[in-house]
Amino acid sequence: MIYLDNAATTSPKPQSVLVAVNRALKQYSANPGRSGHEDSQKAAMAVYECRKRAALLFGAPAEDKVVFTLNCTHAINYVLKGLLSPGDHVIMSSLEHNAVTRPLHILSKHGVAVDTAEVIFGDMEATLRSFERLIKPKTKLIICTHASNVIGTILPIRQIGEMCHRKGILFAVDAAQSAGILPIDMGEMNIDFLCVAAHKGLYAPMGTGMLILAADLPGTLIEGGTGTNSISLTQPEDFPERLESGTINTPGIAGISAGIDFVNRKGLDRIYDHELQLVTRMYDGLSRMSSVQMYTDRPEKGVYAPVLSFNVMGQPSPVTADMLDKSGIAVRAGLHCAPSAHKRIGTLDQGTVRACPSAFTSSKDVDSLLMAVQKMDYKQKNGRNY
Amino acid sequence: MDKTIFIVGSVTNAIRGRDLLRTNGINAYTERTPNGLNQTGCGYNIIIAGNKTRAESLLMNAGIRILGVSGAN
Repeated sequence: MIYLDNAATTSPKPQSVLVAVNRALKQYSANPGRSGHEDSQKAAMAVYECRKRAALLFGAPAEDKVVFTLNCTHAINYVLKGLLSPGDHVIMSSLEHNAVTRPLHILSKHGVAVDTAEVIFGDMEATLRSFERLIKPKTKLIICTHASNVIGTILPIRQIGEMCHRKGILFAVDAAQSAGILPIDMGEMNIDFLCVAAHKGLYAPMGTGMLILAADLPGTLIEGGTGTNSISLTQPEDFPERLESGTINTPGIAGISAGIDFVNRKGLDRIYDHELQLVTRMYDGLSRMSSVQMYTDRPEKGVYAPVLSFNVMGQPSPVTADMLDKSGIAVRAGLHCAPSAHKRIGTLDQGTVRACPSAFTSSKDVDSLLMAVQKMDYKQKNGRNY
Repeated sequence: MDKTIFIVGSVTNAIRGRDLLRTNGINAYTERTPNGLNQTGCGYNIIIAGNKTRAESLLMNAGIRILGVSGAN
């Protein structure tokens, strides 16, 4: 199977991640942060080492501000529901994933005002102004994706962060498609809350994510045992345990550590260049086919993350994906849990076929995709319907 | 040299504090807080054999909340 669905989760995982997870299952099988025995302390150290790696990779203020979550959606919910109260105003972009739009939809029914800033393709200044125009006295938070999971468009988060910092507004970033691919420095970019899907660009197992904080988060969403201050019915004040009730996923976290090491060894620049080159190869090949519709300009460094959407005209996107699946190529069709993005590009009815490479994808894999789509293009041109 | 026990709550704070003190030349290790030492229930300690005042200052400046301090031989 040629796997081009890395925007959903990366596959395969590096051998080092498999080894780390297996080792954790065997050697760190005690519950970290609960007991005093040697095994518990070993597990706690392994978890702490991961916090250190993540803090370094993302320019976080300190290791204790790295909170492990189930995934990026979990992290985003922590931010939105832990921060926003009735009467607050929040701004999101027009390309957001349901991980952002759905909790905000619920919060809007409870008195939180939500506005959507239009992303202006090819013009980061105009996109920034789009956010700025919506700011009100009660604006508490701006939240946006770093890069669209449908079309790869990179948002100007450095400029948005600088604007937020100047205006005293908190800034949250959904880094699901960018962590491990694009450089992120929370300090330099004035990011207060960074939400990470560790199982994507960091090559960790599914069921792992991170919320990294550079600002206080008053609400807790989930309360329970933290291994500290047990006599109190109140959730402890200190992070990260404040947001980590219950037993954490130590083998998964060991996988995050190994995944971060993998990314560091390869280098972010190399990973991004490699993947963008593949997506550009896809784009160039697909855009030459007369019955294939593209939805963006040619991928360009700094403008697009390595995610590409297309359609074979006259053929529903799930049919295209199904045919590719039968040719041994894995992609994702439909709305990609991001109807906002599809509305923005005019594909809300039919969705798109999305292809996304990883560090393990080769140009041969891309050529196989192109050959398979070319067959559909040929059949379309010769009037054969599906 | 007399030992000092800093009760710091979470294992993350304990490890972070220990590493910070070691980086600053203070011999430190962590352990689970024994019963009777911590009024709040469960927690972790950082135990040092060194300058208590300096260690306390380093921990506090790093934002590590000290829930209690005790001496031990």
